[in-house]
Amino acid sequence: MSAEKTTLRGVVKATIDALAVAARNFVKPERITIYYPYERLDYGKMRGWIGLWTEKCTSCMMCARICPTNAIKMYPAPNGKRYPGIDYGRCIMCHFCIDVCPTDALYGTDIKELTWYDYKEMIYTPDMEREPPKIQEPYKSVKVAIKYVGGIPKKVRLQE
Amino acid sequence: MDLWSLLLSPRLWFFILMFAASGAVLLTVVWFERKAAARVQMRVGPYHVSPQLGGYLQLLADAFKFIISEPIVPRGAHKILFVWGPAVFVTLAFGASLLLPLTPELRLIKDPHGLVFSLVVLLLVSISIVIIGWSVNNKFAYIGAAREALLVAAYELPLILSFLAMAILYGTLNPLEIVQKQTLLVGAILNPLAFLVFVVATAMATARFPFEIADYEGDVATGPYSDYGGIFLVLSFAGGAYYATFSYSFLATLLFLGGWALPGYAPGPWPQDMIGHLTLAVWVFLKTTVLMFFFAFLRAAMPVLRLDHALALGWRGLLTLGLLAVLWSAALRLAGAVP
Repeated sequence: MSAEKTTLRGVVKATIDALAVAARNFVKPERITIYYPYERLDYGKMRGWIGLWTEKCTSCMMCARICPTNAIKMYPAPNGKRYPGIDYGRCIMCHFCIDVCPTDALYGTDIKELTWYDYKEMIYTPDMEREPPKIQEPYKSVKVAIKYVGGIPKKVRLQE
Repeated sequence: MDLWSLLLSPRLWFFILMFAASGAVLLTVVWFERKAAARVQMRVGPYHVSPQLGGYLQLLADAFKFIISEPIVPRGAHKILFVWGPAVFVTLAFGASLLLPLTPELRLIKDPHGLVFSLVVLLLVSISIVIIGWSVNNKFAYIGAAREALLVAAYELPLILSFLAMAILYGTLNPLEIVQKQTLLVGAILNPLAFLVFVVATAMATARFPFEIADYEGDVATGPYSDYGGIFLVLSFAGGAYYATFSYSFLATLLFLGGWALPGYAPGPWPQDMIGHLTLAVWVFLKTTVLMFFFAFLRAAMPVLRLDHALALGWRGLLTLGLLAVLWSAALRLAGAVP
């Protein structure tokens, strides 16, 4: 808070300034809105859903130890080994587990628009991680990107 | 009276025009309010209902949703006042505009004191807000009603003073004569102080943005209306408040913006020159809509004042300005500089 005394002139000037700023923004809005289901921001390659090939896994549990959010739980399998299952309620998609995996049993995808109906569905067991989840696309979305045009960020449609 | 003259009666046409046009004006103003606030705040605003029209029909969807939802009366509320409060609110708020003339022929009451009557009815709206706030029996509603009662004291006198200034300026209270005297110079130019006071007091009276204190979401959870839902909310907070704005803007159009006066154009008698009268009615509604657009735009530009600041503005600023406006009018009148 400024200790300045509010004068009549200051109040009038502030009111007119506020109206002027609003009018300027009304005439020329500086907004970047992506109409999500119809338009989709092109993130490029991005960390997403994590898959697992159990036949490569050596049950070293490095992934479970490095996981910063304790999202990975090792599930015992009938063959005596333990395989990682990921709780997507906790996973932050940092892909540390993929980086640390000595046999490349975990693999990364760029599927990031994941939704579930229930918290229980977010807990993946090793069997569920073999196949990437199916992506539903009710709308055929247009890929857009935000680019700086003359120093001002603008929404640009990407040509397919 | 045969059927034909009944169908062409100016009162019937006035009634239908007011209902239809006020509905259309409200739809447009609410749409503009949402879109303008969205543009200024770097959003898009209503879009999914009728994307071709830019979300214009969103309000209809909202109204439909409110109307079909269950009207709930809280347990501790005063049942009769709770149910009748919103109805009284919207009746007073819209009824005030029915007392004003639209063109020399299109009007409901022939009495020349319609302007005063309308202002009195408009000032009663605040009482219905207090009734609503009291009947809910909820602390937020109670605080909101108390704030509204305090604000009434701050805006009522300046509003009456600016009205008085215009009455002194024109030397009459008959709306037909008032509009006739504004063919060349409108009242807002003759007495800008009174216009300023009227606009600010209207913003206070209809809870437009810098003065949305009684029903401010952040403080008191929509204040007097905090337990209302469904049709009651449509009649009071979501619809009735806009009807009050419409009536105030209509009054200001007649008093300050020249009403239906078009320089060099005078309509003929009613049933023969129907087109001319309807054109003038559209002209009046256009001015009213522009004024309402200004009030709607305030939402995008203004923060909310603190209660004591608003009261100080009302008592120190607006009351002084209103007195000055009366003096200015009297001076113009004495100097003989008015028509």
